[in-house]
Amino acid sequence: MNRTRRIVICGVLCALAFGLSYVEMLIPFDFAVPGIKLGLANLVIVVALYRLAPMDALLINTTRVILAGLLFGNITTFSFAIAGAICSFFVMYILHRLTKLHVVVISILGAITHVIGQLCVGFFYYPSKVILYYSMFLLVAAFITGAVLGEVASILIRTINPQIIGNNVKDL
Amino acid sequence: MKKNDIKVILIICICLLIFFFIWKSVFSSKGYKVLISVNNEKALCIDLQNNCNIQIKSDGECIMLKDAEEYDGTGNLLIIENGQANMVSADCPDKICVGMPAIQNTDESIVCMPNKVIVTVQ
Repeated sequence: MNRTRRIVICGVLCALAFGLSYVEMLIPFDFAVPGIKLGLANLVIVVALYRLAPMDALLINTTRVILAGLLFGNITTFSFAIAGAICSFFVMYILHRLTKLHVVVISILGAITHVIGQLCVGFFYYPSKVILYYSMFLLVAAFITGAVLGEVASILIRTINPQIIGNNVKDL
Repeated sequence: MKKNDIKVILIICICLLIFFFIWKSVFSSKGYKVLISVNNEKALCIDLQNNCNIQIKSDGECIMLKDAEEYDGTGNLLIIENGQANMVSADCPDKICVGMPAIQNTDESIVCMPNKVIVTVQ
């Protein structure tokens, strides 16, 4: 893949992930427990992880988090988002590289490590039992959303034309 | 989905279940006191280990009965036994409070709306 194409694809995917973080903000999904999110932006990251070089996927991920943090959040929400995003990215990357697990499983584990990363930051800010109390709801929600989005991601990875996005196609 | 994937998902589910039981044991801490309030005013606060029968009258008066059979049918009858509080009888029309399960954990409560009686574990 030449340099220009790589920049264009990274830029487009970054814009897509960023747009999805905005869409996610519009969906009132946290009616029962504050803090629950769908994680739509993670869809783009999973597809990028399977189709592009790992460095590109990491770049898309961090750029997306920084942009969303600058526009929609403050330093607190940004630290939560970056911790979760980086934890989940590295776990998904390592699992994708070293094992032959299905996208759904990798996505579930990514979602769960995302929550664990955020809980660690949460514990740093408010070291109390409340964090542990919320963790149960967040982990169960992460399991469900991770499974659903993992299934969507596996469909996307199968159907998107590799000539448009991809240089690193691995069999599912 | 292959066999390995299903195994990993099962392992995740088991971990979540184990975590759930730890979580439950941490947060369902047994209470040690029962607070009875009538008309939003504190009527009586009593130890949950103290086995007794309490008749709660609508004016906020609480009478300790030696035997549940002494209950004359006015107000609510609350029985505290084996660390649990249960509303056994009431003169209210709907009897919703009587149907509520016995309480023993912190912040659980039994409410009788018609008589304005609230029983909470603390």
